Amino acid sequence: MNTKNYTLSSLRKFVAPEYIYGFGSRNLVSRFAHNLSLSKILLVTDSGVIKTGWVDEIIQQLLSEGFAVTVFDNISPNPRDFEVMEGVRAFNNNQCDSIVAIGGGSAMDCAKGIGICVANDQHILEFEGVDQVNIPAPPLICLPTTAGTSADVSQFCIITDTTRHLKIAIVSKTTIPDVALIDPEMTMTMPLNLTVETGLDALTHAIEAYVSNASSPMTDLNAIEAIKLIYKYMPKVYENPENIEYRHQMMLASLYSGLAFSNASLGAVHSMAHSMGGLKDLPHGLCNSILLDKVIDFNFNASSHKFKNIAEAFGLKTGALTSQYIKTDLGKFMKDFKASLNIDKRFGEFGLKENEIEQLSNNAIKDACTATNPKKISVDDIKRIYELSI
Amino acid sequence: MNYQSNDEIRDKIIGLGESSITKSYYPQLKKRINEIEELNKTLEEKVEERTKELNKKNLALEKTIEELNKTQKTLIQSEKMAALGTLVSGIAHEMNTPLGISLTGMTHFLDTVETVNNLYANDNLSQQEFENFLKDSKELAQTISTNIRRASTLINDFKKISVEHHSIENRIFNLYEYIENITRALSNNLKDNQTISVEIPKNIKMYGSPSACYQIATNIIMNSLTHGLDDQNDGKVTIKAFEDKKNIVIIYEDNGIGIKKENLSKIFEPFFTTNRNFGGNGLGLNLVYNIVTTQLDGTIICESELNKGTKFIITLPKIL
Repeated sequence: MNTKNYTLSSLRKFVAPEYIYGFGSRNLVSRFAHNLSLSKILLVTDSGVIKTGWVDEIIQQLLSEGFAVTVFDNISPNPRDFEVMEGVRAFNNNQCDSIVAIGGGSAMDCAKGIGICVANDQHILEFEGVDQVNIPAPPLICLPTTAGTSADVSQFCIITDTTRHLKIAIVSKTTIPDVALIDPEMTMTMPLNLTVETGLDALTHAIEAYVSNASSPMTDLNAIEAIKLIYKYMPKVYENPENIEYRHQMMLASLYSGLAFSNASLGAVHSMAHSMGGLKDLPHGLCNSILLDKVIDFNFNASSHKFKNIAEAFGLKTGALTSQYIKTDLGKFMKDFKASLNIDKRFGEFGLKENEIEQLSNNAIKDACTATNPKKISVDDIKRIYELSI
Repeated sequence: MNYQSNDEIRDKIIGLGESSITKSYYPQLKKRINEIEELNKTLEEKVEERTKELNKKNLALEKTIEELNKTQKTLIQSEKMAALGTLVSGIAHEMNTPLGISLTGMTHFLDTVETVNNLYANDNLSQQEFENFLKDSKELAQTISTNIRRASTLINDFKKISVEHHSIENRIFNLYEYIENITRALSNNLKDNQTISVEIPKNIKMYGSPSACYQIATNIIMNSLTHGLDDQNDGKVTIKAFEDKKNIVIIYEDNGIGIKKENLSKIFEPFFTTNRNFGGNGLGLNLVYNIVTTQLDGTIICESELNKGTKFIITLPKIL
């Protein structure tokens, strides 16, 4: 083997937290709290999750084990910078030493943000970018209640900059939780629209990670498996949200995609979704679903063999077809898939105006996820994709 | 936010050039940090406390030193007063005898004159009585004269003790020759079994008042002769001297009866004498001490052992 062909650029890192997957893993929270020597816990969640009852159950468990718990639930979907800073104050005022996050991406990203701000005594917006956090955050235990975000295993933390009206991506190993307790049972309480949105978020994670220019055999393995699972179980969950087996498969898919995108990063779908989500405060999964097929179309030729694999994962026959046919088939599949889940929407429905595209594109091009898009993308390319999505 | 190029971002994603570390067990770390901070805090407090204590002690010490200085001053003052008291009572005591005798003599003389005068007025004065009167008068006058002279001598001695007023004629003189002259002058006071040997190098030259030197030498030598050397054994006085860069050191030794330990510290005090009954007035060594320390700016030390002898070491700064 001629190692000269392997440069530093072909090295790959794979980082993941300790995670316990399975039904009832949430019950281990107090044990891990003991293992990590926690004592005063800031429990970060949101009002929607509190309504599901999971939070109360976990608080009771922690209290009965002698931990002090301060609940911080003043979080909106797409957590804002000021909400993070409010959480920092709650952490400090109550002399907390650790964080437990229960919820979807909002609660977990906010918890990560609070952690790094507390440890570094800095404002959350100072950490924008990749590897910009110096001091690791206090211990963080994540209990996801959605199947899609996978913030519980990722090194990503997405916060809305309310001044610039965009979402910033903070990518750092220090935002990876110490422990993730991934309990599929906790996704049972998700409303249907959220189930679909988060499911498509997981699909976007898997596809973007799979074609990322930083992908690796390890991330590919996880990504492609996630795609297969989502293709198979997303429609089933949509038809039968009470089925615990389907929920379990979707949660597993989300975990796989999380492990993949955390290490391979993402692409233009996320760059543009972050920009869009920041401006219009739209659900992240929804933005992804609108953009995904357009970006696939743009990227296809840069990584046609990988998109071919994706098409196959979706059960499409590729056989002797040329790339162009596969591309067309994949585009058609994506549209049909979204339609079958009743999420084939456009940004125009949510009030996006043509004159806002300029600003959106300028923000998107600067997003950290742009760097790992398989095809070099320009502001004009981004504008065109937004225009197609309006 | 620092600007990051796409290449840089991708490198960091795949693990190149990443600077952050994986998470550590933060509460334990935090606990340690708190402990260290607490230790630092208590350390600072301790240092502050100790510093305060030290400052307090310093202040107390300074106060003590101040008080000691005061006490010392008071002691010196009271010592001076005591010395003055001793001096005054000494002078009084010494003067009392001749003046008392003179007064008694004078009173007696006046009585006799009165008696003779009455006899003469009544034409009752016999020749014999007149001759007796003349004889008594002469005797009385002689006694009074002797005692007044003695008082006068004493006054002169006292004057010598206070050396400051002396008109000092400083000049260069040869120490050996000078001491040799003095011992020769005193030689008629020597008994047959007593000798004085001057072993001073002949080249030592001194600048100063020869009369001061004379006072010192005579007083010390006469001290040895009158009560240092006993009559039984051969008495010997040796005077040696040497000079170094700074000082001329004169070592005077006798082989006499020595001085009792309890008296050794008192020998330079005025009116201290063990020989008052035989005419000592206790001013000799005090005079020597005053001349050495005040006029010549030197020191005098006395060492003595009973029945072995006495040694005086006089150190005089060289002026030449």
